[in-house]
Amino acid sequence: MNTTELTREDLATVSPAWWAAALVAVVLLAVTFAVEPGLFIDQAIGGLVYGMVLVLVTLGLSLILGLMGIVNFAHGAFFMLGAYLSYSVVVTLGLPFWAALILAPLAVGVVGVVLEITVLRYLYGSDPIVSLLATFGLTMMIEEVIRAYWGTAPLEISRPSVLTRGTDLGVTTVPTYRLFLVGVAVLTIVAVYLLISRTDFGLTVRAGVQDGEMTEFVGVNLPVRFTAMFFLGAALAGFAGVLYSAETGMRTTMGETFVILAFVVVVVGGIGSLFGSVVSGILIGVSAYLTPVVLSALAEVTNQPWLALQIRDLVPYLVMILILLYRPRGLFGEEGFLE
Amino acid sequence: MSGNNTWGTVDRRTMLRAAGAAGIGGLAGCLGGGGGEGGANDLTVGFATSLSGPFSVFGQSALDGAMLAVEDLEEELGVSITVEDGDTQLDPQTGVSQLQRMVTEADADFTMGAVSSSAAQAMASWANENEVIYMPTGAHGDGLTGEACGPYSFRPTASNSMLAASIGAEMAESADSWYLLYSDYAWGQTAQAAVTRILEEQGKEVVGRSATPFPADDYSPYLNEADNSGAEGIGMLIAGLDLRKASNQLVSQGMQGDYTLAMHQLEDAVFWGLDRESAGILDSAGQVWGPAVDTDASVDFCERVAESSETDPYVRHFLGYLSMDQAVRAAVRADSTNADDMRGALEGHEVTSMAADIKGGDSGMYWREGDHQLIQPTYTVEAMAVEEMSEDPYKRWFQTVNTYDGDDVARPVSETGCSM
Repeated sequence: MNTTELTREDLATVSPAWWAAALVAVVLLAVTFAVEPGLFIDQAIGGLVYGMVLVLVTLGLSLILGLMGIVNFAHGAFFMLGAYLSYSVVVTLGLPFWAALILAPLAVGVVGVVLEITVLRYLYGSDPIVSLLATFGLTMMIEEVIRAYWGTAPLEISRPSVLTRGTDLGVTTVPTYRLFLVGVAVLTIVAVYLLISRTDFGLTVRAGVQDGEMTEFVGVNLPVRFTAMFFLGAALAGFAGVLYSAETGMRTTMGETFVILAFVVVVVGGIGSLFGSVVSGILIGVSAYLTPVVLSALAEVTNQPWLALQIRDLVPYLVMILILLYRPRGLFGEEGFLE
Repeated sequence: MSGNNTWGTVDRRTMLRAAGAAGIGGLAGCLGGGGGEGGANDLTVGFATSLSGPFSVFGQSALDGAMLAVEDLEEELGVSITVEDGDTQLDPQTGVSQLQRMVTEADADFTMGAVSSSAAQAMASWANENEVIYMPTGAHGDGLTGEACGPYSFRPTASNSMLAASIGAEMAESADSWYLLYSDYAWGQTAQAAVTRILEEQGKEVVGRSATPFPADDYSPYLNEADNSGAEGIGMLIAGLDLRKASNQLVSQGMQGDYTLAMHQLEDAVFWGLDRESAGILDSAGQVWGPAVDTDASVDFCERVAESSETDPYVRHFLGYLSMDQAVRAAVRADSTNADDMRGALEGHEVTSMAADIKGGDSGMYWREGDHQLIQPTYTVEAMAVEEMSEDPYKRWFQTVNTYDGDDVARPVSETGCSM
């Protein structure tokens, strides 16, 4: 998994179309700021925070896909399982939210290990579509287990009271819980980056992905490392599920909603790039928040009310289409993966 | 079930079964005849509502309330009632399929249910085409008794415009300019139209509005838009438990003290997930019914719900009770489950059963002939002081501020767009 593939040479070869697009974007943002300065700032900061939440949700998927080459469609199910397990920890066992933040991801990680040993281990090296289909099947199984055990009614847990209010940032007030998520996301990203790039464990896993036979030949127990990596990916998904659901509650469609969004973030960022996922998550979050404001400002300036389209939910997909049209590998992906 | 079969009735049911088997809806309506089989001693009721998804709490509560009515009706009227339930999820087509299954396979004599106005409209359309009595138990969208009204659909709850009219005066009094957040489907769209109309009639301004997806997790961008609109008040026309999420996020963004906040349709259960201080964020709120109604019958009903339902009593329990009560009594009065006979027993009928006592208010309730709306009192409520909120034997966090006569808040039939 690379951290960035964008170099000075890349920037030097950016096509005039990209520069033109960037110029248009800057002009539009400037016009929007001039027309709606308060809303612009609120949405920009809100989008940045939401983008970091997306990064947190995507991290486990990015790790498994980028490092192990497994198209883990079950990421959404792990995400949802973490959320529902946190409900059991808090409501059934009566433990505090902080305990759920540790116990639920560990449990999801264990589920991930079981599935890796019994199913996915046999699929390494196969065509990506095979792992996609296998994890799709696992997703349906996990979702049905959740429906059977927890039911289909929405559930929720209480957040610690210290996180339920807002934090005044001077120019705008942001929910304290979201700032907490941003902090957790940053720490998690740094921890994962260090694990991959600065530890023997990360080094041997990356070596194993490139040449498994040679890595094992020098005495590395690769299956155990791959299992550990899958544990980490699943636990990260569960971790994100606990954190996200504490604000929004649990529902049985949350997995499928977020796995699609997570794939969009990974694809836009570039498969195989942790840094790309971070940039992509922020780009999509900010775009989703700002695009309707830009269109509204444009409608006001041009006196064309039809331009004020409510397309917030479409924005992640529009961003993906635009990026893939001009850069099929994604922003920081490796050439050849999708082109 | 026995007796009084007609050629048309038999043919209609047979054809419905055939249509159901062939996967074809709406075929049998053209055959005429109408209604289920005659007699009303042994009844099968189809109750199709949201039992999964974001409205599942509401659907299950309505079903629990309906089962309480079944107990009362069987004891009082000596009838035998079988309830066939089904899950509409949040999908109009699933709702129609459930109705079709209930009528063609489970031999339901009449039907009720639905929370989502979009699902209810599709189900009402199917029921009207196929001459089956249907009560959209908990759907408030104006279309059901407006342009989408029909001869066999009867709405037991108040419409959006009735509730909007109930809080209109208080909204107009408390702020001159408003921003409206509304759930982007039939219920929210008609609620937004009704509230806008009421405010503009009183010389107030709606400075902006945001259609929010339903269900949604993130209301922050819409709250930011409201926050920057310059409005003095925010109308939170957001459906179901999503209102709780939106309220939580509004509090998290520190906006609750800066605006007058209003919601035309308050459901107590939505606020039970908030802390008690936050439950009072709404300055104006309309309500069909709630534990705030303190008649003896209402208190008794609440205590029964508290004993029998997983959820403390709130409006959905009452709406389930009311629907079952009214449909079964109509069949008994008509001594038939034929749709036309039941229609005749409902149109213009004044409600005098226990349901009216539970509902409270002095103006009474009656089924308006022109649009099949149950004209009924509506309420505005406010949160009680935190120290006065009670939890035992059930939650009671709100109290009634004003009661409105149904005829004063309902639009005249001529303005509904209903034509039957």
